[in-house]
Amino acid sequence: MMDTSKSAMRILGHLHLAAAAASLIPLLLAAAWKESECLKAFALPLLAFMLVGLTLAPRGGKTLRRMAAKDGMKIAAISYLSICLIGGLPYYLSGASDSAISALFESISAFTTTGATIIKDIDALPKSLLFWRGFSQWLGGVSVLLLLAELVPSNYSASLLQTEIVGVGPEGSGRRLNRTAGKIMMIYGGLTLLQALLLTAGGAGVLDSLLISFGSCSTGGFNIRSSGTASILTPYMRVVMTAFMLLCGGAAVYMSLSRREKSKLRPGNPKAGTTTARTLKLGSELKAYIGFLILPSVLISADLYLQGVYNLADSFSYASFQSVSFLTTTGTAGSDFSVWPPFSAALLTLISFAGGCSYSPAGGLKIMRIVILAKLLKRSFTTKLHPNAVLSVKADGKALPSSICNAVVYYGFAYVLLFFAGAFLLSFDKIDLLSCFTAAAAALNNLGSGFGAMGFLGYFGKFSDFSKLVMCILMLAGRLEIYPLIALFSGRLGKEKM
Amino acid sequence: MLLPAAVSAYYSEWASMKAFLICALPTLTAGLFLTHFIHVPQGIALRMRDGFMIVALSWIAMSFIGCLPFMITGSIPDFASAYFETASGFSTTGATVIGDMQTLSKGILFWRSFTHWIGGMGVLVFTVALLPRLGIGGRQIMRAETTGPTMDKISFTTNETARMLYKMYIVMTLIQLTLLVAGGMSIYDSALHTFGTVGTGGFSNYNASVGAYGNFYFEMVIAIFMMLCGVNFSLYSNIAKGTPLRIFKDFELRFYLGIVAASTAFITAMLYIENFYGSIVQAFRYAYFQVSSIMTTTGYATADFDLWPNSCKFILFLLMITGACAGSTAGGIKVIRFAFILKLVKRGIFRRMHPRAVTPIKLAGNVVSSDTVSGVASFVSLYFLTAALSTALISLEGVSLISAASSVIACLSNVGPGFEAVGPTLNYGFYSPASKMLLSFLMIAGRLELYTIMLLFTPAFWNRKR
Repeated sequence: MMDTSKSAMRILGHLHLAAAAASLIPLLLAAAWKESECLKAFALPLLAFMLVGLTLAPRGGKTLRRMAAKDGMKIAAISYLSICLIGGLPYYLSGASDSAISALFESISAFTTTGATIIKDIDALPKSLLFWRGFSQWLGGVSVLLLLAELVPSNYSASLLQTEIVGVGPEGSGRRLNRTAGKIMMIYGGLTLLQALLLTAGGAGVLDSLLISFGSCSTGGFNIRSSGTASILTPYMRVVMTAFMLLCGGAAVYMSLSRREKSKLRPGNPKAGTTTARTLKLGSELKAYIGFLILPSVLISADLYLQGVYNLADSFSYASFQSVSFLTTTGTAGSDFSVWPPFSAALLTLISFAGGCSYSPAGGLKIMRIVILAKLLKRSFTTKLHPNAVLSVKADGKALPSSICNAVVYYGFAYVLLFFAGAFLLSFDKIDLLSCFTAAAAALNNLGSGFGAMGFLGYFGKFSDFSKLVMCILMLAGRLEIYPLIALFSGRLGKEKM
Repeated sequence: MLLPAAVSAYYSEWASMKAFLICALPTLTAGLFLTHFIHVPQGIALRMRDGFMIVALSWIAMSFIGCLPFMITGSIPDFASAYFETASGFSTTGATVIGDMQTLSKGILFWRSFTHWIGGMGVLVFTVALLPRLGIGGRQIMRAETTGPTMDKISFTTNETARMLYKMYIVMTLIQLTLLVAGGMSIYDSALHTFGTVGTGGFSNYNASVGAYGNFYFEMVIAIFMMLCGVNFSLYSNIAKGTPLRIFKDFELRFYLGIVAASTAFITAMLYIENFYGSIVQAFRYAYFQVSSIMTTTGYATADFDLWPNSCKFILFLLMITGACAGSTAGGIKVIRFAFILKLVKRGIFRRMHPRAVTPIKLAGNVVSSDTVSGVASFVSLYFLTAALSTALISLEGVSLISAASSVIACLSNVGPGFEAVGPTLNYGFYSPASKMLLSFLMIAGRLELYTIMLLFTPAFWNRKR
């Protein structure tokens, strides 16, 4: 028990110190841009992060111990909550948000890479605050991978990632996971910089490029203009954004697959270390991911064109941008999609439930789960005809253990149930019935916009405080994959014996 | 077919009578021909595949024949609409394409409601007697149960079970008919509404449905009978056995009554707070009727619930998906499966907290086999998948997403009315023929627990080698 709480303090402490370091950046920017009203707004959270970090870190053990799954999840939930709370202070202190709940909503939306906002006049925000808003999305996107794989002890991450690991291969040991996480962080950092560079080359301002880059690489998708990010996008920038959203929603799988391929090659082998596209096999998840992109893009393009919303070229350009944006749960609007026909609306809303690949910062159910569910469904048809047949579910040539299949089914139902529960609680607000569903989906899938009262800009300021709190919970639940939030409310830390 | 002909004759609607007779004759000959002249060698057991085929085809064919009277009399001239109406009748859905009932002849209206009654009876036999053999019965979950009676304990043969169910069904019909007539409703109206209630269909001969009477007594009789018909019919055999109290030991029934009570209480409270019907009694009257009607997937309406507060509509929407008990004439995913899904979610949480614990899944104190678990899970996934994809297809019509989604759910769960464009005061007439056929397909698929119909579309089904 002592070990568990010491490990917990160590993790929490280090996380808060990291957050303190991160919040130093907007403070320096505020100083550089002489935005004096923001100095205090950033200084206070910096102090809070440091206080918590410095109190906890020294008391934590030197090494991380094994801990029960429940405790690991609890730590993940606590650290996320605490960082969101402190990270919301700047919005409140600078007066950008109208209430404490709105500030919390904005912060949770950022850290969960949702991209829903309560700030109507984004253009009026101080630049340093705008940076913090974008940067916290990026931090959130990376910290999901960090929390899940790096900072939490390996045996725990293996169990928390039980379903995620499917995409990587269940043999992943702790150390390998840590290396994977480090690698993924480097990849995302690199991708973000690369995108920012490409955007700057295309004529966007440096700050704008960075903000767009943060948004699309973390699949957060905050709008950086009052009139929507789309208003400053040139066709070139739109293509760049589409490509990077696409990569970040699936890049991790790409990397982990190539890593596995690499590990198969023995050191003496001359080919060792030369991982190329040649050795990369398309996993079933990646295949499904591509299918989920192409099919809706084509159908929506056809719908838009036939209904006469845009001409053929525009239809395809807008439809593919929006499909990528919704599938990776980024949620940025490429154009005003609120005028699109209902068929397109239905398709886009549906694919946001699929989400990106496992091991990516995208939200939703994750493609791998959809693949497994589809395989289970297919099997159920066969068993109806051949009741005595014993069939295993295979993915990438390997039979999946039934424990993983069951876990996917349980999670899928928990997800749907939570969606309906959330939508029900939202129905007390003064909005139409459709908005209850789409707002709940926008929050739970970490999408951040949608068809309904929030509009294509993802503006949630109209909702009541109660609805905002409901959506905060949904966003956190979607981000942390539900169970850690429940663990938070069950018993004391470390009480459970393994 | 002969019964509606007689009714038409009674009301001297000769055109309708001729239509029924025209349809009855070939049907009768075809039926006689099939049963008498095609000799099935005795002793050859039907295979799984054949069972699915027969059930699915008979339902589809019935709807074909049933739509002829509508077309011959010219009540509903185009085929897609007529097929929709008949499929809606036989699947006890109650979704209609007819805007004004008063333009139809009495014989046609009678036939329309009578299809509910036939459909309801067919469903009972199908779910209780055939489904367990095909391995998709929701009731399977309770097979090991000891507290309540299950079908295999009531009687040993399918025939006997079926006969018992018929009896219950007819008794239920007669009691309701008597109560309605005693309350002063005309015999014709009583018959129509009884058919709609007992079959949990929901066709009425008035545009405003049951609300047309504005009569508290009628509404309560119908509401209570709708609720009763949402109960597993085999439970009623306890009454015949003289142990009526044992009914309440059934886990599913308790859960069902719990949901009805909770939803009614919630909607009553909301309607009262939002000041819809003045007094709390009035609020209760409309709330209870609607909960009972929607949950048993009947679809009668006494109020335009599309105008109610969002949270009330939301509850009704959820009830449409849930449906009532397995082994009743209601549609939807069924209460028992819903309870089971809750169990699975709970188990998922438990497994995450204690990854190494090994415990069986229990429902109402009984261990459930892993086959049943995957059966229920895949059924519910299939339900949601079908609903989601069909919603996308229906939205091609350009209706709002809520209209599209509620049309699909209302048909798949055999409810009838939905929200917005297909609200209780409106009808499905505006949909294109393609959408009508899709919705008809959903009604029959939902009625036959999805797999029966869907299997016909899988390549494996037609692959004779396997």
